[in-house]
Amino acid sequence: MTPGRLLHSLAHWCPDRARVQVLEPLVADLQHEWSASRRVGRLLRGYVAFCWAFAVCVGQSVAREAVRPPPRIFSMRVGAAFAATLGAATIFQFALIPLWPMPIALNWTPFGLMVARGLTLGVPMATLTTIMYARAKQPHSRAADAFKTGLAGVLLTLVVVGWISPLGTRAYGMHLVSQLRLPTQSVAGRESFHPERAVDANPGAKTWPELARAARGASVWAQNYQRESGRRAELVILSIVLAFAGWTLGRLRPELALSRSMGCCVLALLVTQTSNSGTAITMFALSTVLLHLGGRNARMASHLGLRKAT
Amino acid sequence: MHSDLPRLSGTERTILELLVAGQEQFGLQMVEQSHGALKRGTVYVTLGRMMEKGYVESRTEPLPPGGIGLPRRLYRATAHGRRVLDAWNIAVQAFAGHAPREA
Repeated sequence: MTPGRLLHSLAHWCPDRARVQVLEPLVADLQHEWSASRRVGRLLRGYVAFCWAFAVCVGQSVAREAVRPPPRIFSMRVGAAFAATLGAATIFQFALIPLWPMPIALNWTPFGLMVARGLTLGVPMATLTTIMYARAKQPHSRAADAFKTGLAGVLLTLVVVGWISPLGTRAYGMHLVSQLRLPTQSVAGRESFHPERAVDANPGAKTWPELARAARGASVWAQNYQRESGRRAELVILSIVLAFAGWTLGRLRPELALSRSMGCCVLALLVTQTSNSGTAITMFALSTVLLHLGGRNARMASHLGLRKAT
Repeated sequence: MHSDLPRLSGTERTILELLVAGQEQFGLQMVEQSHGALKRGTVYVTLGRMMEKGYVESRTEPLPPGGIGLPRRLYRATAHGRRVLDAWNIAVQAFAGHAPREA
C-alpha cells in the first residue's frame, strides 16, 4: 500500500497554490522514498516534515486572508444591513416608550438609553442579518470575509454589553434622580439613603469590569451581579451563534428562500419562547447546526439532480 | 532604499547553489545533498516561495507505466535566479575582509 493518501487528502484543506507547490511534491517524494527503501524511520520523518509544512501553509494562508480586505460591494452590503438592523432595533425601543410605567420627558438622556438598549440586542441581531444578507446576495463570497464580519459583530457585542449599555443605563438613572428630585433620606439609627448610590448599585449600570469586581465582594448584591454578568456572557455567546446562523441562512439556495424565512421564524420563536436563556441559546445553536447540515444536503441533492439531468 | 531589490535568504542561496551546480533536482534530493543545511520540512515551503519570486521553475516528472502515487516535482534555477546568485557572490567577494571597525 502506498503511504501518503491521508496526507494528500489533508493537503486539500490548504489553498491550491500551497497544495500544488509545497505539499504534493513533499508527499510525492515521501511515496517515492518509501517505495525505494521501505524504511519506517524515513517515512516517519516524512510525516513530521509534512506536519511542519502543513502548519506553515495554513499559517501563511490565514495571515494572507486576514490582511486581505473584503470586496467593496460586500462591505457596502454589510454596512447597509448593519445600519438597518440597528435602526430597526432602536426604533422598536422607542415604540415601547408608551408602555413604560411612568411618563418621561423626551430629552437626550432617555434617547441615550433607547440607543443603548437598541444596541444591546441590535448588535447581535445585526451580526446575523449582515452575514445572511451579504452572503445571500453574493453566494461566492469568501468564508474569511464572513468570519471577519462575525468577529467584528462579536467584539462589538462585547463592547456594547460591557460598557456602552451600562453607561446609558447609569446616565438614565441619574437623569431620573434629578427629574424626580428624590431626596436623601435619613432614618434614625440607619444609614442614609442616597439615590445616586442606588443608581450605582444597579447591576445594569455597572460596566463589566466593575461588575466582576463587585460580584467577588461580600455584598448582599453579589448574587445579582453574578447573574447580570452571566446574562452579558450569554449575549456574547448569542452573537457567536447568530453569526453562524447568518452564515447558514445566507448559504441556502435562492429556491430555498422560504426555508430561510421559516428558519428565521423558528429561531426567533426558540429564543423568545424559552424561559431559560441558556437553554434557548443551546437550542438555537443546535437548530442552526441542523439547518446548516440540511442546507448542505439540499445543495448536494440539487447538484446531483442537475448532474443527472445533464 | 530599494525595496524591490531581489532578496536572498541563506536557505534560498543554498538551494540555488545546488541547482546551479547540477541538473534538475527533486526537493528530497536537495535535502540529502545539502548535508544538513536544508531541512525536509522547510525545503518545499522555500521552493514554493522561490517559484513565486521567479528564482526557480519546476515541472512534474511523468509517472512511469504502472507507477503509483503522486508525480514528483523537479526543480531548476531560472536565469533570474542565476543572476541573483551571481550578484550575491560578487557582493560577498567585494565585502570579504572588510568587516566594519568597532567605534
